[in-house]
Amino acid sequence: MMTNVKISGYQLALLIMGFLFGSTAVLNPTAMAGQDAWLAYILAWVGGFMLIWLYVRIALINPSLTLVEILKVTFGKYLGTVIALLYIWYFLHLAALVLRDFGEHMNVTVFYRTPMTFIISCFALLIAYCLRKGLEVTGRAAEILMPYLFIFVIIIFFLLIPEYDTNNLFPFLEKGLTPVIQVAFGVLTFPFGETVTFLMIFPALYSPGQLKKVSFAAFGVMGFIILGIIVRDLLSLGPDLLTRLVFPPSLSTELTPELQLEPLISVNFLLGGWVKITVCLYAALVGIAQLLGLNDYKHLVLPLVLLAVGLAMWLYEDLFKMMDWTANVYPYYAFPLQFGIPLLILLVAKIRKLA
Amino acid sequence: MMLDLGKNSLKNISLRSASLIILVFFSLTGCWDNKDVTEINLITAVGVDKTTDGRVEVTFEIPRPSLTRTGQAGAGGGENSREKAVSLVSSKGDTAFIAVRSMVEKLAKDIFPSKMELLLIGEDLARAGLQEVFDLMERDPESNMTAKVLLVKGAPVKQVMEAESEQEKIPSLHLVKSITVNQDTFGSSKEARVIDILREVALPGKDPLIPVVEILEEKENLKVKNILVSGSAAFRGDKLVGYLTATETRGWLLAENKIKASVYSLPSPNDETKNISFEMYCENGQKKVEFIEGKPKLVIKIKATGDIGESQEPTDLTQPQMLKKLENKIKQIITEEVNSALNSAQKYHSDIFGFGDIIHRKNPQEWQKIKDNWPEIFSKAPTEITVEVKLKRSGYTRKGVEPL
Amino acid sequence: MFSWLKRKYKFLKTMAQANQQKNEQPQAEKIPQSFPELRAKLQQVFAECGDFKTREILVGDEHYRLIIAWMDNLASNQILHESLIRPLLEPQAFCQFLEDKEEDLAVFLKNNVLIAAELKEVTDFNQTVEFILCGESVIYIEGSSTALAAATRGWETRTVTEPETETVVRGPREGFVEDLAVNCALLRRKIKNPNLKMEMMKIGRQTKTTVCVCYLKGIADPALVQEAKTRLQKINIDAVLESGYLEEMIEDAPLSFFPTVGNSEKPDVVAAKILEGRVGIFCDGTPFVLTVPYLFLETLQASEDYYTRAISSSLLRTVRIICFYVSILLPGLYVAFLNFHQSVLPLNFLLTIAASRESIPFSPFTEALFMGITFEILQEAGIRMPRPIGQSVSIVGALVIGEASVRAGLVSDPMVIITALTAISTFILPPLQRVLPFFRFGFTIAANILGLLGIFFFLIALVIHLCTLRSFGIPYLAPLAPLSLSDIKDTFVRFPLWTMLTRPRDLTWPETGQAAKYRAGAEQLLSKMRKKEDR
Repeated sequence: MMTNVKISGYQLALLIMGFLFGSTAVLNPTAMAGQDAWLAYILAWVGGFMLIWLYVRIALINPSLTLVEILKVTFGKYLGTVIALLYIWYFLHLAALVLRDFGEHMNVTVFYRTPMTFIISCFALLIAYCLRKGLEVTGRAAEILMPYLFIFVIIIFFLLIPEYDTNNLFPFLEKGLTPVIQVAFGVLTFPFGETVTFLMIFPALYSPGQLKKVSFAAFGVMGFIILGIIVRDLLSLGPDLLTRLVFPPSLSTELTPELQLEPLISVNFLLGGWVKITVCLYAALVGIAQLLGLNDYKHLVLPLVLLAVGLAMWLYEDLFKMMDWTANVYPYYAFPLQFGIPLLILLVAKIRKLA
Repeated sequence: MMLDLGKNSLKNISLRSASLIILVFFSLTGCWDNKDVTEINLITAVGVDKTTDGRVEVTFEIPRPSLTRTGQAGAGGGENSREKAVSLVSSKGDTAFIAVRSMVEKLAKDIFPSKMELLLIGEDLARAGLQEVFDLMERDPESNMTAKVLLVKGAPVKQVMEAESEQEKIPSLHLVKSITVNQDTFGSSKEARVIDILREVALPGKDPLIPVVEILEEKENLKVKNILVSGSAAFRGDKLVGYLTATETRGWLLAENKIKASVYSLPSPNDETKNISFEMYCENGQKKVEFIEGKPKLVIKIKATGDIGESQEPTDLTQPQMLKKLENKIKQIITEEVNSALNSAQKYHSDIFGFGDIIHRKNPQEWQKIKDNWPEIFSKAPTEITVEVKLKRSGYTRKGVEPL
Repeated sequence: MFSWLKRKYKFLKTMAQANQQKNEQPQAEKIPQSFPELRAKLQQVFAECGDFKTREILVGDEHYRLIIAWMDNLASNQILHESLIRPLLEPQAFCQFLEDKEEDLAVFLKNNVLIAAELKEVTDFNQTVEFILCGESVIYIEGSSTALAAATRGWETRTVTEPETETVVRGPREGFVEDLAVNCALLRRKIKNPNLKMEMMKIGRQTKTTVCVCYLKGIADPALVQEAKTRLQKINIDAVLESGYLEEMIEDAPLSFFPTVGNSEKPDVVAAKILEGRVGIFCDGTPFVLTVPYLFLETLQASEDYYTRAISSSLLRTVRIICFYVSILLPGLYVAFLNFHQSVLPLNFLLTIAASRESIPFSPFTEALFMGITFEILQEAGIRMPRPIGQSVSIVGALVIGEASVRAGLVSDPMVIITALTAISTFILPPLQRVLPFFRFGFTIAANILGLLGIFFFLIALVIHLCTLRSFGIPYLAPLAPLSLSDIKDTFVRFPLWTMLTRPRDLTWPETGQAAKYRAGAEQLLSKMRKKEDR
């Protein structure tokens, strides 16, 4: 069942783009770099290209194997299983984080009184439905829905043009390069490094020859769009407001003349988050199914989605704790999984080839 | 085997029925954030003032939709028109947030400040500091960051809000429109939005300037035409430090390149008793900071073009020499205006021109040295103002009609 | 829920039994040679059939006896008279036969006497009965086990007129009629090509309705044709009175809101679809011809798009797409913006709305539901009513209900505008007319719970559902999802005909990747379905 799932290059590109957009555009992880946010972002973007190159190399060693299978091949049955379990936890955790972000964002912006549990459960139900229909359907639905996301981003970008003030880009590197690099590292792990999830999905690509082209194109296009969003927020809000706000885009869209287009940001978050959570949970599901030797993951969908909802609700007590954790702990927690182990896999493969 | 089929379909429907049950359940129990437009009080203007006992007084202007509707046909139109289209509600509290919330005690419906167009600030509060008000505006997702800000000079905020307008059903909209039109075509006051002030308050090298409204003549039934939006208030950080007159404000607008058109008049070179009026357009306003031996010098360059708008005497004003004379005179006036604005700013230690910010962006190292005592350095810095004026058109005529 | 399961179980059980019954084919039966026996048998079969007629004739110097049997008015009396009875009673007709006596009488009649256009020799009695029921006349010959069936069909048919469901400003105005033969001829006139194949089959245990599978050999995918035929052959029901019966039995997703089988009343539409590689299914007794596979975008297309100039038809396409969104989203958006996202609307607009809603006792949601249901009632009444009364329905609807409910302060003015706009938009998309109200209500409910977010939750779910659908193996949203760049020329806009050089890739060309890929997926699904059925 799972090995037969095939998606086209365009669909994979859209999934990667939606994944990168995910919660990034709303949380704006570069905000802490103030007026140098764009620089921090570009540094991370370049780093992101290196990471995706690494993942593509790993995927191309054996195009039909998922990450879990690759781990088993590389590190042996027992160690491989342990590391695979780590990854599955990571994917699940990531999905829970995005779900929580989504709930918090909605609670702060429009739905003050609606319980977060309800918003998250509705979203989770949608994702469960999507997961049940499989990756092919997700890919096709992305083909229909992603254009909305692009249109909304472009509309907001152009409506805000009167608010742009290029003075907000200066002074350049006021506090030196170190804080910029720190922020860039954070952005590298969120969202670029998170695409390690796609190692579970690359085998589904219809023609593996396209893999490199497709993933690089997706990184290029979405990287550029996110750059546009970061520059938009920076130019319209200024560095000071940018660093102070929880959800910078929500405020910057309030500046559009006459209209307040904040709901479009929520909708974009919904579209991006939908792709991101679906991909994360799909990866976790396929991983679990492969570890257990099942040939169908459909029975696992509801339990896993429920688990993700539970994690989202109870991992963090409040918004402050979660923001603190994602800013200070997450990069160090995620980086080994995003960079360390993949590098190790590639090295082992090279050594084996030589031997 | 049949049993198996049944089981299978049970699994298939479980997800659907679960979602259906949840949907139906929640659509019945309540939609938490669902509030109809008829269940909320739209708020068009908010006034914040400090009472004598140091508490915060918040006043809301709440329009009554059915009375604000223009061109409404039907019964009782004449009677309704005598009724006020807006009602004012105010309440007091230790903080603005408490005051806003305790407003509900006096209202039938929930408040909805998202569409507020105007924020009026009392003088006392401004002297004490605006930090609290703007923090509330920034924190509350329902606030409107593009609302205009006005400072009420020499009167309680509530008194200004009570003024009725003859042109707009909602008086605050009258004020809001007049601010914008004034800045664009006359230049005696400037436009300031909440977001602009939020940005400026936080910048160490720039201080906010807020337009001022004052009551022209005390009357029983105050109308908007009896109150005047003119001049502006200079702040240091978030505290009011002094006022700029209307002409000083125009000087500031010229330097900031924010004015679209403004009018000047000067006595005719031929006949001192007659006046000539000009409509001036600002083409370019530049601010610079030059460092001379480590000391900053504030430079303002303005380029303006203009039309002859009116002449009280019939001389041909389009002669080159005549034009030169006129241009020079206007130049003097403008220079004087900008200079007085700059002088006032220096007097108040309030960098409303944002020279500090220019240093900060262009020359961060220098800024690090001087930023701690910037207000003092700013107030003592030498200034240089260059103005270029060019008269380009004279309307339909070249020469006025000569009465015999 | 349990009772529902029980019912489903029972239904499946009866289905299984019915399948067993189907396998019991009626056996062939010889035609009795002696006439008394034959007469008895005919009387037994056609007992109490008032429209069954027979006539006995003695021919060949009264040596031979014949019985002609036909159904009154199914067989045309004139044809019967001209082509069968008159030649048989011609005195010289049998001279040659009486002299030679070598030939069989049946063969002689067929070759030398009867002048009917189509004559068949039949040896099976049951088959002769079937022929009689189809309007042919059967000539039984005494002492012979062979009967002759002559084509004498000539019942009253409606003339070819302009169909009322699909009117055009430009384009052919003829429409299909109820008669299968006429319909086939209408299509054949459009495509003069021997590759246009028309395979007949009979469906319906009681009605024995003729169904014709029509496709263009060499263009239609053989697997698709085979699949269509297989699905039709599997149908086992009593009656097929309209092609809707067939549609329900062969569609891919019977429980989905969206149609996966198309229908049309116009020969040019069906011809165009067959030329694209689709399969047409004609059913006797109805002017509605089915076409498969049916994709979502076909609901937005009209035959006129191809007859008018590309630019204007592209504009109309865009309008239709906007209408699709308006008709499903508008009431939902109204509720979402008025109840959740008031800050999005400009102040003046908000004040106007608030003023008009001030005295209304209901929430926008209740209003939207009320007006939506009212509209559905009016629409249904308008369709079912005889035309002269239909007008008064619209007067009652528009004036009495619309105007009065606003006057009475039950419904606000903006809601009336929105309902009207939604209704008009729905009329523009006839194929989806019965589908859209569901989504309209769905979006309204979703908007009432979570505003714009709810709308997009619902929209995503809807898109996922649409992406799951397939029509005869082709993804329902093709060529949008999966995207096929060469086919997108005929979706949101229509490119000029000279730019459309390729046939739709989704339908034809099994050798290219795209179609083959879908088919692999489809076959998997089908085999799964079959396995389920087998169980």
